[in-house]
Amino acid sequence: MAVGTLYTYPDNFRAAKALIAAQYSKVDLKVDPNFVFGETNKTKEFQQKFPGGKVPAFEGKDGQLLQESNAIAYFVSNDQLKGKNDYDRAQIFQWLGFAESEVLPAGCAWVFPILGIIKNNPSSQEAFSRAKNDMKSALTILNSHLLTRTYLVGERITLADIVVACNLLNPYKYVLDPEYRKPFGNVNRWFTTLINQPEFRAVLGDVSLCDKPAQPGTVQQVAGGGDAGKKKKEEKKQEKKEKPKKETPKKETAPEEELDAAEAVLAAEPKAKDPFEALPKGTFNMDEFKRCYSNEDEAKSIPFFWEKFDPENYSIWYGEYKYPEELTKVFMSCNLITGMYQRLDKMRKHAFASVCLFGEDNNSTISGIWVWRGHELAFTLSPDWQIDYESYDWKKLDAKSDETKQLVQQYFSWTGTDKGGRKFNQGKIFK
Amino acid sequence: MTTKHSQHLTDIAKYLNVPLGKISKNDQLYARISNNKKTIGILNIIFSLVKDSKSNLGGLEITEEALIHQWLEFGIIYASDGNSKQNNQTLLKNLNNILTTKTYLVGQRLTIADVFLYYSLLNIMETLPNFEKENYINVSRWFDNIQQDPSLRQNYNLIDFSTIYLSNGLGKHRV
Repeated sequence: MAVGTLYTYPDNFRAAKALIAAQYSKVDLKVDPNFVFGETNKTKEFQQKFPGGKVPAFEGKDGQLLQESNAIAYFVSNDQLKGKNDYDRAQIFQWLGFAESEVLPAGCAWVFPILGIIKNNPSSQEAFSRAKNDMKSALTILNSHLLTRTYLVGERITLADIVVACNLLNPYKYVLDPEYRKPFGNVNRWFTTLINQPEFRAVLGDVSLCDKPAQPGTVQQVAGGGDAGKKKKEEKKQEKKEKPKKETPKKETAPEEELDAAEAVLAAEPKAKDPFEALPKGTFNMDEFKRCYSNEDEAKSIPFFWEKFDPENYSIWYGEYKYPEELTKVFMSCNLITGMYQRLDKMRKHAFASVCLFGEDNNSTISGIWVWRGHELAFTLSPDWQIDYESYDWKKLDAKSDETKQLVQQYFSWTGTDKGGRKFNQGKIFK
Repeated sequence: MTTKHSQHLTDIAKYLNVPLGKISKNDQLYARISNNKKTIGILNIIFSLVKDSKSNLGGLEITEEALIHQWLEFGIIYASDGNSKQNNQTLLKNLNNILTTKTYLVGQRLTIADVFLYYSLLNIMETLPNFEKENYINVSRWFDNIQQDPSLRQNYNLIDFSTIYLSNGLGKHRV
């Protein structure tokens, strides 16, 4: 019988504490497979149980509700992990405090800019440079403690080891390169032993330690987040990472959160040249058309489009989502479209699209009409734009054909049906 | 020195909770007879005991098993009671270097190598003056961790390493 359910996004180092503790105490702690970060925890029902909607959150089989990773981990721990006597238990608390106040802030301030989870602005820059020293102080304390001890408290693995190790997980993976960690041999020994215990491995899998120093914005990987806001961004990072797979509902987040994350990622990247720059400008004024489309009725804006469109230097494309059978809820599919738009942010200047969802829940398709500068598939111009496009079939349209005119009419005015006769449901404009 | 290894075998059998069988010694060669099977040589006897116990302390795969072999031989050859003080110091010094980066002798878990070496080093550690324990800090840490298991320690004394912590200005509590 399950001791309870854990709500978390995947690969959350905070949730790992409870999951590892559950491995040791051999209790069945289930991770809710239906939990969607940024969605489930935004619902009224969730927030009633867990004010603030932070994860990991725990719901016991007898209705116990807990938030905060250390508290959840404590709850699912056995006596060995909790400490055998009051003094051991007090020491464990001491190390939990150390993990949260000494290790975590330094770890986050150092790792997050590197993973692009937080913006690399002046204030984070300051925290970033301070973090290396703060981490050094924390590791020095740990190192001298572990010179004479195998584990933190009482010569056996306790919750103290689990919590401190989990808070050090991302630093060890991403920033504590061999040179930096060399003086902390005892910590390295202790950490290596822990992550190789079967109970840790069952949750963390293979953990490889950082082999060269990472710089801000160079690591495109997911990592554990700080507060709830950071976790959302992290969730976003994961979407990017998993580009070859098709997006599942799990990866949906609300648009404004995505923008947040997109900005953070953009800020972490060096200023890139506009990939469209090399292509001839032509006569079509994208901004002018977008203004017209926004302000006028389609009866005016569509003829305006054809009047101004420059087929020499611009092209029109039809893009159809390849995996309609995976589409479930309409709002999720819409997030799929807006998510793609967010990721293509830098393409906006020289591109326009209307992507529509046809049908209803569990029976829908996504397709759209795109216009951009140049005659090649624009997504190949920048590695930043290649997250989503492979999930779509792309067909270049002949700007002169009547068929194209009809498609433009249909998609720009959000009318008609898809090939299977499903009715127009919702449209999203990329502009 | 004569009774030492047979004592280790008795301790290991007890720790593993398996019948020791009959141990005999002929020309420096130990033999074990159990279930009508004869096993010759300390190393083989230890592995036969582990096998009887069905525990995984003997290694899960061939590399691990080979490393355990190596450490058992190390213990048999270098950690004997008849050693001179100087030999013991060399032994501790080498072991101390090796244990700088290791929690256990083989892999990341307790194996029969740790168990055997614990029994083999008991006398040496017990008679080691406190300031020397500090010189071999990694051995001390390893030994202290191993000896905390009551089923392994049996009736042996818990060796006190607390002076090390006092000299650090840190107290240490033990149950």
